[in-house]
Parts: sequence; structure tokens; C-alpha cells
Amino acid sequence: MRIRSLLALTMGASLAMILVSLGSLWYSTDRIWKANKDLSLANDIGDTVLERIMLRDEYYIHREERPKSQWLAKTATLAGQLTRARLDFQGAKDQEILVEMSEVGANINSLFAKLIENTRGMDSDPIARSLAAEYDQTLFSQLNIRASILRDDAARLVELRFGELSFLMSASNWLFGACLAVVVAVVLVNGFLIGRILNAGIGRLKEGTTVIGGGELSYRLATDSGDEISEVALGINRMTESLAGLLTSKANLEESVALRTAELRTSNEELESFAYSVAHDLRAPLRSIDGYSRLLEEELGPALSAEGARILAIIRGGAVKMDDLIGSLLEISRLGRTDLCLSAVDMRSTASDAFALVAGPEVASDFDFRVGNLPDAYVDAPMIERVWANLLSNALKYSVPSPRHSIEVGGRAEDGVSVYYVRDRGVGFDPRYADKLFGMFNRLHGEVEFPGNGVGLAMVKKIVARHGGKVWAEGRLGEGSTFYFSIPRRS
Amino acid sequence: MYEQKQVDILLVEDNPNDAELAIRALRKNRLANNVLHLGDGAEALDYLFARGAYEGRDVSDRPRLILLDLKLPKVDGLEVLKEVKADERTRLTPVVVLTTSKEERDLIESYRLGVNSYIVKPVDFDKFVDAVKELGLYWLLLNEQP
Repeated sequence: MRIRSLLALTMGASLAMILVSLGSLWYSTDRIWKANKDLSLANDIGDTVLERIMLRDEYYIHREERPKSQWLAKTATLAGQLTRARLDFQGAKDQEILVEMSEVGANINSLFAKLIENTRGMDSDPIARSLAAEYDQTLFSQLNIRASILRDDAARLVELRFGELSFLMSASNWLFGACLAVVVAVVLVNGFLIGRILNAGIGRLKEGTTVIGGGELSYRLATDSGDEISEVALGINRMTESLAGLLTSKANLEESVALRTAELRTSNEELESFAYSVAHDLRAPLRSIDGYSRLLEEELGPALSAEGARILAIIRGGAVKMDDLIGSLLEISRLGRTDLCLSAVDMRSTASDAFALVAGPEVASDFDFRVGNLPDAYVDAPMIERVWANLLSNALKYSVPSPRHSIEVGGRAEDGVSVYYVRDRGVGFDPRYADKLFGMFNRLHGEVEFPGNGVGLAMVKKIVARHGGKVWAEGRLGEGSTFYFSIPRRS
Repeated sequence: MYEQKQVDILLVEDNPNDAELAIRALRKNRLANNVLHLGDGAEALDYLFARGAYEGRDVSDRPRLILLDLKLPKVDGLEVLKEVKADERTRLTPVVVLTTSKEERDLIESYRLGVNSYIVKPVDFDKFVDAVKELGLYWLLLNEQP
């Protein structure tokens, strides 16, 4: 049984009982009021009967006109009262008594009339007076007997009416009590049932959630009780199912992450061994090309023509350049693999030192080199030295043909990152190709014009990216260029 | 029976071209008088400890310098280095490792095993000649052996 139905039943039953109580209250009040009225009428009848007896006695003693007329008036009153009683009193016994009272009353009336008549005869001759006196006594005793009957009847009537009234009152009390008892019983029984359902249900929920909370996600709560508790249990079951699903997918995810990590590690190891064998196996033939070219040069000696010497020089140059490229490739791959060793680095002095190193004293004195106040950075010191060295040697290299030998290094703190830049007044670059600057082996100038293998800026980008930063550049042909890099600041 | 002869430099190098270039570089520096070239690590160990083909050789007659390539067939350079530095008779012989790159992992291991020096074999032959010159001067002419 559902808790809501039980609650509704309790409410309904209580309400119905209250309505029944109210109805019966109204009904019994009405009945009691009427019974009260009847009782009062019965009492009045009794009073009238008694008063008439007293008036009769008075008349009998004094033979006066007043008691007589009063008696007659009371007789009329009694007749009226009896008529009303005949209409109002419904009981068979009442009616029987009333009939008797009417009959006895009529009897009394005729006897009293006879008494009056007889009184008039008492004034004549003594024989007649004695006869009348005797008759008078007979009449009086007859009247007395009748009157006592009437008085008894009235008393019985009062008794009956009183009985009715007490019966009604006690019946009404009982009815009330019964209604109250029913309401209390319904409330108690339903309260007990609801309590039992809740108690058992919450016990089940508690047990189940404890088991599920303990990690047993295959556990399911019983949902067959058909009440609201089983709806809650159903909800918890669905929740547990989703949780189990989530956990499964999390486990799958973790598994695939572990798998990917292993794959990544394998591919990293392969890359490393690839780099190793590149270093070893590609360089050996290069050494032969260069070395034997040199030997050939020596063997031929003076017999080597100028053209022959030029060709040999190109061959040797190619071998050395290829070696340089292999070296740069290996270095970039190494930059991606070695762990960062972070520390707080004074960027201002690092940039100044790097400039002194790449420029050398002679070139440095020829340049207007200015360093602003650079925010410190939390970086890998040797790597960041490479960044400064590469950017500054680039700035130097592309400033050479320009009349303005000026290099400016600056920096500022923005939200979350420190941005640094190297600005030169050199040959600059076409902004359309700005995105090609940082690509590996990408060059915007011919190698004859500016020597280099196109790896320096790629290396800068790689190092900055490993620190979580970005690189970008601004420039115009013939007006110089500015290279920026950002490093996230440590909170 | 192995015919004893004076060996100043033992060159252990499997690549014949690299070996020839190394010998040329030594010759250019007038260091190539008594150079023995062996092509693998096993043979080098046989020579040094007078085993196999070199049985009967006087082990105490040590080369003055060993030039050792790390990548060798059969027994690799590190293994040769380990045995040389572990044996009382050869422990003091200077060993110079020839490497392809100074970033090689093996270099750290070589130092741990007690290598005396190393040469990165440059592609540029002239630079190689210079490097050999410096090393030869140091280990053969200046460095007094105990």
C-alpha cells in the first residue's frame, strides 16, 4: 500500500468521522431540545394538576367563588396542555397515559360540576342538607381518588419524558465517543502502517546505499514494495547504474590512456634510437666523402686543376653542411626529449651575456645595444640562454648590411605571461611570410646573402613551446624586425 | 706464434674508411710509426691480453695509447674499455674514445668506466687532423707514462 494512499485514507476517515459527529451532534441537539421542551410540558401538566388539587381543596373548605373560577380556568389550561401533549409526545405509553388522563380529567370535571351543583342544595331543609353533605363527601372522596390518579399519571409522564431526555443525552455521548474512537483507531492503525513501511524502507535504503557507497556498484535495491520508497530505490538504482557506467568508461579511458602512453613511450624510444643511428650511420659516409675528397686533393697535388679544386671544395662543403643539418636535427629532437630543469632566471643579465657571447667584443662595440628592465622568468637556464643567443645572433646577422646597428631588448609583464622581445633595425622581412619564420629549415633569405641552416628560430620556438609560451614576429622589409616570445608566469 | 713488434698506438675501428682516415690523420701528425689497426673488440681484447691469435705475446708490452671506437662488432667499445680498465696490467694505458657525437649516451658511460679522453670524429677531415694532433701530442709526447 502506498504511503500517500494511507495518508489520504487517514485524512478521509477522520474527516468523515468528524462530519458524522457534527451531523449527529446537530441531530441529537435537536432531539434533546425537543425532549427538554416535552419534559417542561410534562412538568407544567404536573404543576397544573397539583394547583387544581389545591384550588379544589380550597373551594371545598370555603365554598367561595374565586377558587371555583380559578379551578375552572386551570381545567381549561390543563385541557390545552394535554392537547399539546397528545400532539407532541410520540411514545405509545405517553399516549396511553394521556388518554387515561383525558378520561380521568373528564370524570373529574363532571364530578366537580356535581359538587358545585350539590353545594347549592345545601342551603335547603336539614334533611336535604344532610343528604347533600353526605353526597358532598362522596363526591369529594371520588374527586380525591381521580385527582391522585391524575397526579400519578402526570408524574409518570414527567418520568417518561425525563427518561427520554437522559437516553438521548447518553446516546449522543456514546455516538460522539464512538466517532472519536474510530478516528483515533484509523489514525493509529495508519500511523503504525506508515511507520512500518517507512522504517522497513529506510532500513533497506540505508543498507543498500551503504553497500553501494562501499563500492559494490552491482548491488541493486529491492523495488517490489509498490510504495514511494521503491520509487526512491528505483532512482538510486538508476543512479548506481549510471555511476557504474561512468566508472567503466573512466576505467576504459584510463586503460586507453595507459595504452597510448605506452605507445608514445615506444615511439619516443624508437625516435631516440632513430636519432642515434642517424648520428652514427649517416655521419660515417659523410666523413668518407669529406676525408677522401681531401685525400684526393692531396694525391693529385699540383696536377689538380682549379676547376677540379672548386668541385672538390663543393663536395666537401656539401658533406659539412649535411653534417650540420644532421646535428641541428638531433639537437632539436634532444630539446623535445630532455626534462626541463626550472629555476628563477635573471633575464636581463642572461640577455646581456648572450649578446656579449654571440657578438664578440669587436662587433659588440660597433652596435648600439640596449636592454630594458626585463621581468625575471622561471625557466630552464641553459635552454633560455639558447633562445637569447639565437635571437640576438639573428638580429646581428640581419643588421650587418643596414646602416643602423641598433639592437633593443625589452620585456613586460602581461596577464599571466611575461613577454620579451629583440628588436633590430636590420633588413627586416616581408610580413606576409611572418608565419614561415619559425618553421624548420624555412628561410626568407638566400644562403649566400645570410648564412644559416634555418634551424635557429625553429629551436627558439621549440624551447619556448616547451615552457608553455608562444613566439611571434613583426617586421617590414628594410625597416628591421622584432621577435617576441612569451613565458607563463608562475603564481 | 705471434711475431712481436713495437706498437705505439692500437686503433680499434670497424669502419675501414674511418680507420684509413684516422691513420692518415696520425701520419700527417707524424704519429703513425707504430699503429696497429684491429677491426673488432674481440680481436682487440685478444691482442691486449695475449689470447687466441695473439697467444704468447708479452702482455706487459702495452701500447702507449688505445684509440677506441664505441660501435664495434662482436664485443663493443664499452666492453673493451671495461676490461682494459679492470685489469691491473692494462689499467694505466690511456684510452681515447672516438665518438660520432658528443651527445652520445655512451660518452657518460665511458667516463664512468675510466676513459682518459675522447675525440668527436668530425665530418670535416681537417678538423679531425687537428684533433688527432692535439691528442697525440698530449698522450704520446707530453704525458709521461709511469
